[in-house]
Amino acid sequence: MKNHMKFKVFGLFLFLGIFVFAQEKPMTSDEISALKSKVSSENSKIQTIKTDFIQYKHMDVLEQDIKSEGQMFFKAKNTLKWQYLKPMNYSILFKENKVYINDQGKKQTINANSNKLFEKLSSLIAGSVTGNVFDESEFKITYLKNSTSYVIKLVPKVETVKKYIQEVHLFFPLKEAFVSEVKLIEPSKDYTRIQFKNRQINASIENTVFVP
Amino acid sequence: MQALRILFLFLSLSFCASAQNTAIELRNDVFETGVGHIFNFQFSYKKQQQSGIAVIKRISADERRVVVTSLFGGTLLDMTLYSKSYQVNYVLKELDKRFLLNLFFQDFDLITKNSFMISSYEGSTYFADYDQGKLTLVQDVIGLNSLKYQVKKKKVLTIEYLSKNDKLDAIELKHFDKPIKMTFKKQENGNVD
Repeated sequence: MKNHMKFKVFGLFLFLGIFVFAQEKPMTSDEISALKSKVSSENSKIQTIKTDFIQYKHMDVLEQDIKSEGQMFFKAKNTLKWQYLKPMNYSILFKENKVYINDQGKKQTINANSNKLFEKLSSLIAGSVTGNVFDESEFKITYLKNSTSYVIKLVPKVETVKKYIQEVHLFFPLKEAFVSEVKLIEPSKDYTRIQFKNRQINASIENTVFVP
Repeated sequence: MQALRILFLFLSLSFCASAQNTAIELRNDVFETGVGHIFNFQFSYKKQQQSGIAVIKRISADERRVVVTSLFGGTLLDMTLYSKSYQVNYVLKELDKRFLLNLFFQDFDLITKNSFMISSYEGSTYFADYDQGKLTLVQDVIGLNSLKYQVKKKKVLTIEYLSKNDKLDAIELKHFDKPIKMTFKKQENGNVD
């Protein structure tokens, strides 16, 4: 009986420990300034980024998330290619105010200038990858931290974006200036988590990657 | 008077019995209740094509949920279907048009319907009424193989259930009244709770 009680108390401590571990608290103003300046300094050195990503789509209708995988290529300042390899081949290239979609071989071009949503999405995606998203005119920003990461929560102010994305969470591992995970929350509360893996900064990327 | 009552009761009972004999229920067991089926989804209109992911889940015999998302993960359409009606849980503003939602309801309803009340049949071909038209359903050893919907003898759409190793692999829907096609290709391990 005594052992059973001890086990229960241990379980409670473990639970509280996990709760405390996962808890987010506000960043101090010094921490915010340090993060901003580190991100800004690293950003100015970025010429290219090449990274793999794993995407998890969470829906309330499913117990398990839907997984997709691919690669992302970025070239300063505004060229970005998002390429899905699983579950299908699909790429979207943001380049010179145009959006080029290659849907399993079927190509389509959209003028991002004439489509405000694509323009906003393009800068949001590029910003999420580089971490350059501290724009108070576009977002209401909350700075938090947990035991492993700084968590920057962005609430879009622009109506065109707000209709599709309720919140964006960016995870910067402590002591790093690059985003390791992005969480995009929809108004329905379903969300998409994107984890970046094998990131290479300023590695050479063949020009053909950015050819529509 | 009593004799008339007995005769009426007798006639009613025999009518019920004969109606039960001719009305056959054809079940479509492609979607088990409580299981989410994940598909690579492709929608094409004229020469335009949009790929995404579709989730189909049968909640109960009468209730089904269909969610379509872009590959980026953003939800495009989230709909709950009942036998004769639907509820839109979420729809992208650009798709929020009555005729389009009615079209999606009709198409998803036919794809996911639990059963069809058959009015007649010839071998493995079954005939049923649906909305303002007629359905022709063909069954094979695995289950429902194809469906054709026509209104006043004019073909509206066809649905084909394609299988691989005795399991559902893809569903292809083609409209004949509009330049619309939809393909649902089952993802690997595409069944989750």
